[in-house]
Amino acid sequence: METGQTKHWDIRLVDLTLGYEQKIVLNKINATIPGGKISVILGGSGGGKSTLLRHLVGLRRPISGKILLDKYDLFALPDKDFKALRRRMGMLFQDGALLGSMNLADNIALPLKEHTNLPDKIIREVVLHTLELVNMADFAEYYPNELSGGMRKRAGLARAMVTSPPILLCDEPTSGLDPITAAQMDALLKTLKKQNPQMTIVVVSHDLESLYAIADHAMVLNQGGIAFNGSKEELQQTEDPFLKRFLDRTNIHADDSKLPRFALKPETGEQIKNALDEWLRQS
Amino acid sequence: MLTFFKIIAGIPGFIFDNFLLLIREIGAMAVFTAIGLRRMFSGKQFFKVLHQIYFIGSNSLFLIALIGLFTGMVLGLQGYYALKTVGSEGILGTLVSLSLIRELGPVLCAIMITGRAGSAMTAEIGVMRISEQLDALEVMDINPHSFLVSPRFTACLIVFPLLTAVFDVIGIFGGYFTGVALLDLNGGIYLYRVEASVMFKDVLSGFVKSVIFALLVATVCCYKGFFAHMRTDSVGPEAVSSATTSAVVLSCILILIADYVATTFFI
Repeated sequence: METGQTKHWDIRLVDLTLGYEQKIVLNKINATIPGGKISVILGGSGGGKSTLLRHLVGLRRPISGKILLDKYDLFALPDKDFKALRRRMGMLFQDGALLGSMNLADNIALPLKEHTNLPDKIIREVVLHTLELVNMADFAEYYPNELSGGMRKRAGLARAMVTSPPILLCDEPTSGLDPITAAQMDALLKTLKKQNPQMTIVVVSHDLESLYAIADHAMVLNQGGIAFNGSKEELQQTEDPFLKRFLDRTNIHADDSKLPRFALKPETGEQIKNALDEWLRQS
Repeated sequence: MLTFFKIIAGIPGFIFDNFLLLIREIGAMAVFTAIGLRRMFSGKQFFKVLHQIYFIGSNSLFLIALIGLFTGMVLGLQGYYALKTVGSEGILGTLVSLSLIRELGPVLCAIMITGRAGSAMTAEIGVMRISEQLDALEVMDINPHSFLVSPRFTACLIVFPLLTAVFDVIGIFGGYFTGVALLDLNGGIYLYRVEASVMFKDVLSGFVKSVIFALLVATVCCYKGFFAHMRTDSVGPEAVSSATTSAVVLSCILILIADYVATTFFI
């Protein structure tokens, strides 16, 4: 297998059906995530974005269909080749997923310590350099529980980047962050892309600001399928009613006659009001 | 009436389903143990094992010494008065040493380590599972078995016999303290009976038992934490607490069952 550091890794989804046990989340989807670009996967909560990402990185097996990385079918490869392919991916988890029992330096050094025989001095140098890239060099000796959510995400990104993988997958890198920190995270991803032009970055997000800030390519998931797959510019010019509502942040279920399914009965509302009034009087 | 018959008719199915679940769980644990043992010899284990020996062994030493001392003292006290009724208090050393080396040492020591370190193992691995840390290890191509399970297996296999030996020695001293210092038994007789009664076979049985218990505790505690996310009775942090409770309870039950089985071989 090629080292993949100097090539674009296209990711192709072929008749892909994903889900958990009996529940299908995405059904027979076909799409290409172009290599060497930043692709943002958007969609509502529970729409299958993170599920798709976990399949892309091989943490779960699809119900049916294929995920092709370049020409390699991820789940048809022998175990050894599967692992070799996965070494070409780095992943930033939603909360960083840093090991709580290690400080940041040890967390980021972990892949290098486990897979190489580099001397500790060299590893330390690489770790500090990688932490510097995410503006966290001063926090090398901190433990994850001593850091804010944004810092944990940046440290998680540093760990994903330390082996210089040609494919970087990010699960909700800006969720739960204040607008300034979220913008810094977006800027960081842009910088990383500039420094590694060959890198394929896939970002799962529900943050439209991130889409406008970093995306070259966008994919929108809706109701178990792909509502859109194309460039950011094409998405912005779309006339599709669902996509327009999605981008305008208007209620995408506004026309849905089925809603609301669970209306309160008048007597239930009265009971709740009385109970809460009683509670407030007590306090 | 119909409901009553429905319940009665459902009992065989319920028993069969649970029997199948039990068989599946035992099979999964056996595979888990085999993987853990095989990975004990994969690279870069030394410092992880050392850390676990410190955590499981060194941190449990004081507790084991304390429990061993009082177990020996109670054995000395009860044994002295029981033997005195038949005029045989001179063999107190035999009673204390054989009880400790053959049975109480390995069993009590294993139960104490389960409570202190086994529960911590389950909780730590369980928390790592529900907070995606194990997934992160897999993505980094670090085998979670090699990284988390095998070092604990190795450490338990080293630490259990050592702590059992400490427990036995301190327990025998506890019996000496009660019998000789408090109840005026002749110290020379006590020690002579210890030396004369304890055979190599007794020490071997205690050692083998402690190794079996080490494997049981390490397997159950790591397994329960590793699969905390697959529990059907709870999710999230509650699943970790349920996994920890069930790991401790199951370990203790298995220790006692395994003790009986091992004793039948050594008796």
